[in-house]
Amino acid sequence: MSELVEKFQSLSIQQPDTLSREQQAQAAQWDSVLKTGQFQERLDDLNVLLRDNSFILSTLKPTITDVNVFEVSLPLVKEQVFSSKDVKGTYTKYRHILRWIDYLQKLLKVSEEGQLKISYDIDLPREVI
Amino acid sequence: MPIQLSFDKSKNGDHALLFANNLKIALAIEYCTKDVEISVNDDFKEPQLLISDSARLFDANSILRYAKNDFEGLNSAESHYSLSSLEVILHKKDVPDQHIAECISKSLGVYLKSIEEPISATKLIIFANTYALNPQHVKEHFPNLPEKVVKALLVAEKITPRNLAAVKK
Repeated sequence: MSELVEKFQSLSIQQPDTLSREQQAQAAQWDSVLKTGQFQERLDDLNVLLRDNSFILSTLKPTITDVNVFEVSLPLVKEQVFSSKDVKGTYTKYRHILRWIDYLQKLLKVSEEGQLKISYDIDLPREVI
Repeated sequence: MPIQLSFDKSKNGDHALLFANNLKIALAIEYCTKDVEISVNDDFKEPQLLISDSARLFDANSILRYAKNDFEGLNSAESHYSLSSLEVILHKKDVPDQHIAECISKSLGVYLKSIEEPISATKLIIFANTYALNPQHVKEHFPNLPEKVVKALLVAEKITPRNLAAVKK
């Protein structure tokens, strides 16, 4: 069990008693993406999912699936932001993932150096859906 | 309203990966529970199951699990091996033949000792990944497969686009 998962479990965030068929399938899908090493290719899909939902399984509070995906996405998105010449473009493209990362890194008390420093001053263009 | 399901017809994927995806989707149709109505949508070229406007599955393993309503064994060693070893090979190019042969041998020797109904989604997924990596070997190992699996194999063979590399193999 990873340190982040342990930290999440120690927070005693109430988890749903049961998950719907759709939620279980969504959890299986992201488990599959992580285990097959296809996460980078699925960043856009994650962004769209988080556009329509606060958390991956459409729950009101984060679940273990959020934490598992967050653990992989944090370094990857950090790298994308650092290496990008077009930071505003990266923020625009992954705005929903950034919102979700911002929430989870604070919730899980990720160390200062481990966090993605998010600039709240960037004026993003209106999203066209 | 029926749920829209699409097969994998993408042109940039390896034939074995496309076949594995299409076999899982064909198995999803065969093993779909009666309370779910599925219709095939040929407009999309990548695997997906559109459950609603805001719920979409793009992963063939999860599409099969959703259709069968079977989420058991997600954290089993069998499932882990199926995804982290076999499916990773399907995604990669230039994996040494010896490594592939060893992985198939472990899959058949440890996890796929028999294919008999009732078959779990976990077993169907590891079967699809193993079969896609070496169909001939798996056919020899299982001369008699369950009817639904045979039907799904025929659909996957028919629907998976052939490419030159696959023909050469």
